[in-house]
Amino acid sequence: MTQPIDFDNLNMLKSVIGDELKPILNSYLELTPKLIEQIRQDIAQQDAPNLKIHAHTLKGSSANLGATQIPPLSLQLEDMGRHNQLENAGEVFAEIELAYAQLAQVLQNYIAEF
Amino acid sequence: MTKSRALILIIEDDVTTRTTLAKVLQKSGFNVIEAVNGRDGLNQFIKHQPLLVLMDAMMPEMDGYETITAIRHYERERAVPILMLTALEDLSSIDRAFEVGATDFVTKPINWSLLSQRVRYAIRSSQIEDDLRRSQAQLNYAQKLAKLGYWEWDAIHDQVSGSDSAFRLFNIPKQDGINLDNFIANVLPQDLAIIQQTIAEASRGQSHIGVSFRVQNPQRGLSHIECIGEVQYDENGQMTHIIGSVQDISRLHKAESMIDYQANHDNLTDIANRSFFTEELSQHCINLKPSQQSAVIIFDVDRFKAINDNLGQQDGDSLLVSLAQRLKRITREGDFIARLGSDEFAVIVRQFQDSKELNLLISRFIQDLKKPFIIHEQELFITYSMGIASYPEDGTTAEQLLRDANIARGQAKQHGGNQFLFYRAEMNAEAKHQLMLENDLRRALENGEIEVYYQPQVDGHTLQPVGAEALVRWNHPKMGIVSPVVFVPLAESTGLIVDIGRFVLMQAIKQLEIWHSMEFNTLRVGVNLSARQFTQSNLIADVQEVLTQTKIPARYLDLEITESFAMSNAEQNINILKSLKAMGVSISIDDFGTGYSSLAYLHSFPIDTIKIDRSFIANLQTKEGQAIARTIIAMADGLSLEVVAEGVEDESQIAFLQEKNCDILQGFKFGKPMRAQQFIDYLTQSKFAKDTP
Repeated sequence: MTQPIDFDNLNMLKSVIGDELKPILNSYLELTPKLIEQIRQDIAQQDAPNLKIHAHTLKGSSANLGATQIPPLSLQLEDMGRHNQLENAGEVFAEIELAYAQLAQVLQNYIAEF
Repeated sequence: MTKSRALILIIEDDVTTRTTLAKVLQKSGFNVIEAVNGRDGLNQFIKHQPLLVLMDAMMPEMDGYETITAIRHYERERAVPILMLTALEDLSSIDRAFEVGATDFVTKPINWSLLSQRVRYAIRSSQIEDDLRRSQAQLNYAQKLAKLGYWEWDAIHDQVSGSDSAFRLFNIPKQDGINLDNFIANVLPQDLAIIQQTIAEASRGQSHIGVSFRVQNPQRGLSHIECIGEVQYDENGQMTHIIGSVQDISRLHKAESMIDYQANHDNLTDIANRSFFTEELSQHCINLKPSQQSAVIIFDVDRFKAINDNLGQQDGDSLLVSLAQRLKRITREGDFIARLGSDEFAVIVRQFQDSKELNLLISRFIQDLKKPFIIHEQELFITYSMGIASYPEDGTTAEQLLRDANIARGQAKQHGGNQFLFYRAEMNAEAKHQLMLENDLRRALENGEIEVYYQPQVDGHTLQPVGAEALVRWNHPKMGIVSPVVFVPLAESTGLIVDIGRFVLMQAIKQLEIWHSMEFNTLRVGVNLSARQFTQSNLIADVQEVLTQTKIPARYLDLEITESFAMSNAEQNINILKSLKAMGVSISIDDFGTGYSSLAYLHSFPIDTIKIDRSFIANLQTKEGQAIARTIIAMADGLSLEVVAEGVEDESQIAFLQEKNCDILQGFKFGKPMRAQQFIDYLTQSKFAKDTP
């Protein structure tokens, strides 16, 4: 299975900012579940404009850390929000939840080895 | 050379990305400030003047494009590099970023190892560009300075500094911190007036000055000196510095007549200057017999400063030159014309038979003056304020005639410009009264005499309150309430309108917060913007600040400008309106229908609402009045603009406007302008009346 995160990118960040990467990762781990919950609600309420914004944020924050699976999935949701076609949003969302669970595990291990 | 750490502004709504950006840049040696959305970003930009901006494209509140537009409008001269963060897959966003003024883009996901290099490179190229501009200017200057003295006057602190040669030319020992009066102490006394006039013109906006005068020197006798300078202003238009060169031109102008000509003529337009005019008029008055008739006309261009700002200095100057040439052409052979100051001109009408002939002369003169000027193949219409004083009725000396013509001109300006007035004895009293009123108005704000009233606006169908228009009132301690019709033009001409306008805006928002906290949370407030407020560059920053300090969404603030003003300078106004619009406020056109514009043209303005002028509502009982109102409403509807009817006073007007689906009504029928507390009582009552059928 491919890694949920690009370790080269993560290590590059670590080499630039050092120990201060830790609070950034912690804040990502704290904020992302909330964001995912908002996306769940957006889909439940068929709120396309908010889905577009929240998926966009999830895409950006995950991609910048080097996440590999979440960004393309988020982009799909963002496009669905943009075109107001939420029929398949539920399926993509399930994949995001799964991908995040894996990513969170990997990041927690990474932090523990700091 | 050690440089302090470069300051970078990051505008990004996502916390993780923003913090990571900040940390990476800090580690690379930059200072960082963070903003969580576009509006916050614009605010921080104005406050901190960063060296570079990193901007996310997609954000709530103001998005990245709107923010860049607003920043580019705000900074005007220097272009701070702005790097836009965009997703790689989104090519159209990159195009749009460049279109609105971004310098470069950084694709997401961000390549962290390259980021700080990109930032450093962008800062360096913008600095190189700046340095290049500066050194080019210095080089030009250096060449000119080869045989010249260099001087600089700090107008705020009244201090002159300069090169050794400048002090030598003024025949003053070189010293630090000398004030202007001492610096020019050896200028021939009769030439001091020219220097003072030049400085007065500079302070009124004449940004390039040139003046020649004579300096006394015991060893060398009289030397003829020429000064050329550039004037610098701060953002409020206040003169801060004059920087220039000085040259001994004695040898160049040996011929005495040449120097006389220089001293007597305005060097931009080449017609007589103020001192020559005064001299000529004095001589003329001495030569006249009491049985003869003569007159003095003094006029200036209405809102010249705004025209000049809009055209730019160079075109503004060529407008003045064209105006002087036209004056030569349209006056009679023996009449004498002069330029008294920046945009101020005068004519001596030497002789005429009776008042009928004078009237004829003047009306022809005005007709000719009013014809448009052509600047860059565009017609420019300008208007004038003109005062006329007659010999011997109004005075028999140059001093009296000049004073009286000036008072009449001041009155013409006071009454809105675009008119000419003959001096009347009562004007003297009126002028004194105006002066007193002006003095009182200067203290009115700090004395708490300025108050904001609120006139209800109701929904066209339910007749329930939807908001209010904020209207300014002045409680004069002795005269009681002074009408805005009287004091607003006064506040405009003195510049006090800027402070008063800011005060009204802040008060209106404060009331809006109170209403919203009282379950009237859909009400909005309309605030009038005057022309003067609109043209001063701080308006955007003021509105921005007010919006930042409140939790009320911007759309509940409605800014109103009059139709005639909107049209007067359409191109520039559209840009300012777009910046305001980008902050989310709503824009209304006031007094609609009284100007010359067509609704279709107005559509290119970023407006939400038009307010039909009260004169049309007052005319609703006539067929013609009905047709006008109906047309305005139908066209506004077609352009998806909201319509407010002003001056609604009776049931038949309501019925008509309701039938035509007018959105919002305002007028005595629903409430006069009232104090803040009364308006709250009014809101509570109307809610009570609605809840208890």
